[in-house]
Amino acid sequence: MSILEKLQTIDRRIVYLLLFLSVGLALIPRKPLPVIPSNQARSAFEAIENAPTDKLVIIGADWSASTRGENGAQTIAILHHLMKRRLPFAIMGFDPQGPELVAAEAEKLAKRYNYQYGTDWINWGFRPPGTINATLKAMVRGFQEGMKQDSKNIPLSDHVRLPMMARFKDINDVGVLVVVTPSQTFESWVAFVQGIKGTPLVFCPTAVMAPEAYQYLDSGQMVGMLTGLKGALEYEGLVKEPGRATAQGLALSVSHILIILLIVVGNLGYLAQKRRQKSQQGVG
Amino acid sequence: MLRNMVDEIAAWFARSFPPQKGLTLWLILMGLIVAYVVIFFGLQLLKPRARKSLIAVVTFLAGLFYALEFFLPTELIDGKETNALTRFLVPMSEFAQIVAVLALGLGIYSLTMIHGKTLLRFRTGWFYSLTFFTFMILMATFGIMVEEPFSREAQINRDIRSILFVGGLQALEGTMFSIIAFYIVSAAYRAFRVRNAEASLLMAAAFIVMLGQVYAGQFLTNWLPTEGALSNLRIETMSDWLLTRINAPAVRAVGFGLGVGLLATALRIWLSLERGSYFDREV
Repeated sequence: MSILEKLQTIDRRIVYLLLFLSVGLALIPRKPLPVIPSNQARSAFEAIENAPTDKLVIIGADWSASTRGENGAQTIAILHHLMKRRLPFAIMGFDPQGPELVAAEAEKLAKRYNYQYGTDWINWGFRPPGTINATLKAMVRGFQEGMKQDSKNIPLSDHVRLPMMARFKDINDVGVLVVVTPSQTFESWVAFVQGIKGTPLVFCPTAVMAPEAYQYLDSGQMVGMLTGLKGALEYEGLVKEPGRATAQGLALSVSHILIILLIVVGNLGYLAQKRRQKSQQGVG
Repeated sequence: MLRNMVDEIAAWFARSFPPQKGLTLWLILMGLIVAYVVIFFGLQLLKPRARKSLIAVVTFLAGLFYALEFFLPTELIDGKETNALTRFLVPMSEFAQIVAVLALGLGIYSLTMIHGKTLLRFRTGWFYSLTFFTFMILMATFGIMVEEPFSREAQINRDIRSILFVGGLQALEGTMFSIIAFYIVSAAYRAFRVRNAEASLLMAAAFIVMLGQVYAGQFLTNWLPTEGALSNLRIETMSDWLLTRINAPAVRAVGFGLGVGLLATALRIWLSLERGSYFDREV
């Protein structure tokens, strides 16, 4: 076996080390890369930029710590935009960790933007995932009836502690839907929430889930999309709030280039082997 | 006519079962739990055929509600599309959540039985069962206690829960998912080979989409104009074209097929005709 042929059997530990070193080193420089926002990210930005300030934004937080790298960065970028525009928002989710993770980020940013819980934002909390369709169907007809209470067990009818709930009653009072999820729950949001009044829906999936959602962008059922970490990076650029995604942009680029290089190298070895086998057959 | 009938039934229920508070509420709740246990064990006494028939009827009625609610004509009341069954959407949602919580209890029961046996008999992997019990009890205890009003004890509960949830669960989940990256790179390196024309086409598309996702890729064609015919050769434009013009129709076509299949499966489950792994051979 020639050296060229050996390129297709590089030890997996060397591959792991290459990835570890390339991503690790790429995380050190803090200088942000120039960003060319995609049409999907631009549309998502415009949907929130043009949302009326007297309408509620609902954030469907159906993600957990496992996809925090992508969904966390997307959520923070969106929260910056919502709070900059002083848009009131409600968090809910069908993953036990989702609403809590988003609420933790919202609490951190609330101090900077002077957002008050119950007045400017609220956490409706977690609902069992098996009931997503039934819960969403009930929620769109009336928040108080459908959701009953927030994550702190305060009834939504308690307008003293949750004054914002006096202003927002049902789906007619929603300006934008933001669904952050690495799972298929977005289909329920499209069918049972967006479809009722045609409320603009911004989708934030992990990069691996994004290809499944392009058809909804095409049909207009989604107005914009942030594709994984790249989407978060673009959105941070659009809202001018460089954060986690911007810091990881170079690492994302380097890891993609490494994968492409490894595939090319592996194929060089494969083609060399194929050529040798052909020539051997010719001699034989 | 249907609306009047449903309204009358709803009014009768409202009159007969007014909202309760205090001791009465607790007594009713206790009574319901006892009734639930009696019904649960009562169902076990039924013959399998009768039990299956009962399940079939309940499944059909549950499905029928949502089908009728969707298809029955509506009228605009208080700015909302409403028909005779719409008012029951919220109670049905609450009912579904209660059933889901019962399923959670069933899951805990099942895990406790499996891991309990392993632990008590010191079978292989008993250590994992011990870990399971330890963290299930800890998370449940501090998760429930954290709801208490603010006090020094509540703060300690919150801190412990934070250590378990943020420091433990979230860190573990994040780590597990990060490790996948190493396997993906290794798998892509080993599996992607230009064995034939289809594989070559797939690889070319994958390279364009991957490069279109990152700045390093976009940098390669940054010298091309952003408008005009030549802009179509920019890597992000080609990537976008592949995703919106090739990928989207393909996903939509698969979605149509899946939709038809799902409709057929839903009908079979609704009418209790389904057979297979999760269903008995006979109804």
